[in-house]
Amino acid sequence: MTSRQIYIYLAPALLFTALFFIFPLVFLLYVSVQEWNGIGSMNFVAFDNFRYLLGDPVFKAAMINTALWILAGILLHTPLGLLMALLLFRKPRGWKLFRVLFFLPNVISTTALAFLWYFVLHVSLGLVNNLFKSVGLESWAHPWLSDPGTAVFANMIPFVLYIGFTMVIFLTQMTTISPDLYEAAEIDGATNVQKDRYITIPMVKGAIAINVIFNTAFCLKMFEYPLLMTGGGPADSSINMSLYIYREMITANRYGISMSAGLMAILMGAVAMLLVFGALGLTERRGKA
Amino acid sequence: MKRKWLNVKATLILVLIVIVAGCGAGNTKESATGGGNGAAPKQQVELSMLSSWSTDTERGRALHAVVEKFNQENEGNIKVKLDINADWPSLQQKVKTMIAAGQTPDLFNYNFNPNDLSRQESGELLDFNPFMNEEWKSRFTEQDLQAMTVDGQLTSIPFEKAGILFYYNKELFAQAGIESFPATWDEFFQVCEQLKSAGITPISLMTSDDAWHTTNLFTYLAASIAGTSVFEPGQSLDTPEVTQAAQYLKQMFEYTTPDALGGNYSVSSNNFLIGNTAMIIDGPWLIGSISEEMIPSIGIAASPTFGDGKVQPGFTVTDAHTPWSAAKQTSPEKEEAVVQFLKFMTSEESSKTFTIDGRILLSMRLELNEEEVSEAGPILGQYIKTNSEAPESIVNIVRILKPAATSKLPSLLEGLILDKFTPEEFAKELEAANL
Repeated sequence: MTSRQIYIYLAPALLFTALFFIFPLVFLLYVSVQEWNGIGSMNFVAFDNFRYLLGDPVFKAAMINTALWILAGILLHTPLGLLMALLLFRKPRGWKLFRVLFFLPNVISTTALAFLWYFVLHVSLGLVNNLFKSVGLESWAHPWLSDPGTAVFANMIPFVLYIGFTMVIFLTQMTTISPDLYEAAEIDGATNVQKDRYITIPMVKGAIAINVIFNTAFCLKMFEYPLLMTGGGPADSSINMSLYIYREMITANRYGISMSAGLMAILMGAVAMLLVFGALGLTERRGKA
Repeated sequence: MKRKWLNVKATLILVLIVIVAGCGAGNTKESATGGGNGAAPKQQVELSMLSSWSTDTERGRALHAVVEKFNQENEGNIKVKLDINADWPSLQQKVKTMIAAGQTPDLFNYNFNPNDLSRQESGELLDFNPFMNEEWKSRFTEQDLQAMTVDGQLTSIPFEKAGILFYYNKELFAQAGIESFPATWDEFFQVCEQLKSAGITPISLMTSDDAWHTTNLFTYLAASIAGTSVFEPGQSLDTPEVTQAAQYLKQMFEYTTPDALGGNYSVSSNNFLIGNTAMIIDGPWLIGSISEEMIPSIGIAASPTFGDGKVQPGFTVTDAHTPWSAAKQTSPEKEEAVVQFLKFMTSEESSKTFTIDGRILLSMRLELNEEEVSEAGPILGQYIKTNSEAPESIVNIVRILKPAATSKLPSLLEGLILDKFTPEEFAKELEAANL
């Protein structure tokens, strides 16, 4: 293939990248140093928007909550997916049904799931509180969505529990492991836990890395659950970066601040990804050593 | 090889042509039906009208009926095409984006906010002053026309101005031994206590989105304390009166449902509609959601006052003015068509259709006889009567704050209820956000 042909093949991708990524990014950078209400002229304000963000407690809460979402994605969602994949990989009775059941929420719209969980956790109509009441644990009933101490975690529940996609990636990787390894381990008298620990998990490290990256990206973009379950409240206790950006642009009409927050979100994403890649690289090097 | 290269080049050019043609097609469509600077078709003038009033609502059906009638009467000359986007906030955003892009819709409605005149200041809207003859002018009150005039230009035609009133469930009131709706706030708080003692939740409130039912109550309280000019543009919100209203509002959260904190409009209104609460403060659009069985139990009342003369009894809080605006036109035919259509929309006959069938309370002058009032149904009839008797009014605070303060209000309210802010801090924070 000649270099000219390479350029031709790359041209459409480059064109679309320039149109739909580079240009919006340049526009975002430009607007982030302006004061603009979406109509009319823009006023150059240099770094005032960033100064505002750094002094805004709501923005700080949005950053902390987004970091909490990422941690939930890495420390809860991914291990749960791995655990379920390890169980289903042993092909217990009805494993195919369970695989479908676990994957099913991934094909339902997040909006529908958010509404479903809104009613599961609702203070008076909710399944959870009524369940507690029905078994005599009335004191455990709690306003999960309207208590600033629980709202952000209540928003995370559906994401943490719906592990179908993560689980399928693990299962797919597990099916590529040679059965000979397990046969050899069985001859050596290895238990199921030992087979998981010394064969399966080391062999799906690639899938772990992919899932961690996917889930980090997903959590950085998370929008529907906070918007529909708590609206970022009460008193901004469950707001995240996406919701903050949306609110500044759509309700407050402060496009400059919204774009600055968008830029900060991109930087936060880049830092999160660097940390994830760094951690994965470290694990890889330790594995080789 | 050369032939292959030519084939690749031809394919690339074709792809580019398709992309460019696609963009071009979009522009052509805009200039034919939308966009203020498009050339008008020679035979029939087409006007695009953006609204959120879909036909699954009474107001939507009324709008469609009026537009259809106009189109029939002007067949071959003018055709108004409705473009419905039922999501009001996203429609507002779309209109703003279209104005910013110089493609202002031919006709659109919006919430007028004296603290957000970005649409008017864009220079993209048609000034109706040259067309406002005595006959058309007589359809409106001078105050409403004045309110819509910005820098000497009348770029919006007053249309909807809904009074927000107290709905109460007479059956639940009777269960608690209450015979009539309270006339003063002291009595109102007593009624709330009485209802609570009888195991009935007194009032529907909410804090999510625009905290609509809560801000209605807050506006009523603040106006009762300081008069209907309490939120006039330029006035500080960090005042003892606003602080006192916040204090009362906080107290009212003892009389609402547990899901009020974080609840949205549908949660709050459903609590009233299924009989969970005894009162709600809302506009006439709620009437359509009241079940047949519940209709005889529903009463409509004006707000209590403190009885100190700060406001006149029967005063109302209103929703924002929701006027119609139009794009500045270069074609005189299209300009004339826009004016002709808006005159039709605001005529006596169309106003009756909008009020009786669409349950919309209008800015336009309208006199309904007893028969027409009863035709509107028991609740709307009562509603129109109470609303029309209002001696003075004030627009709900959430409709007149600057967008940044509107955005912050729900979290400030939640902070007030959760003791994150004192009423003084609430007033201070609200003022800071509104600067």
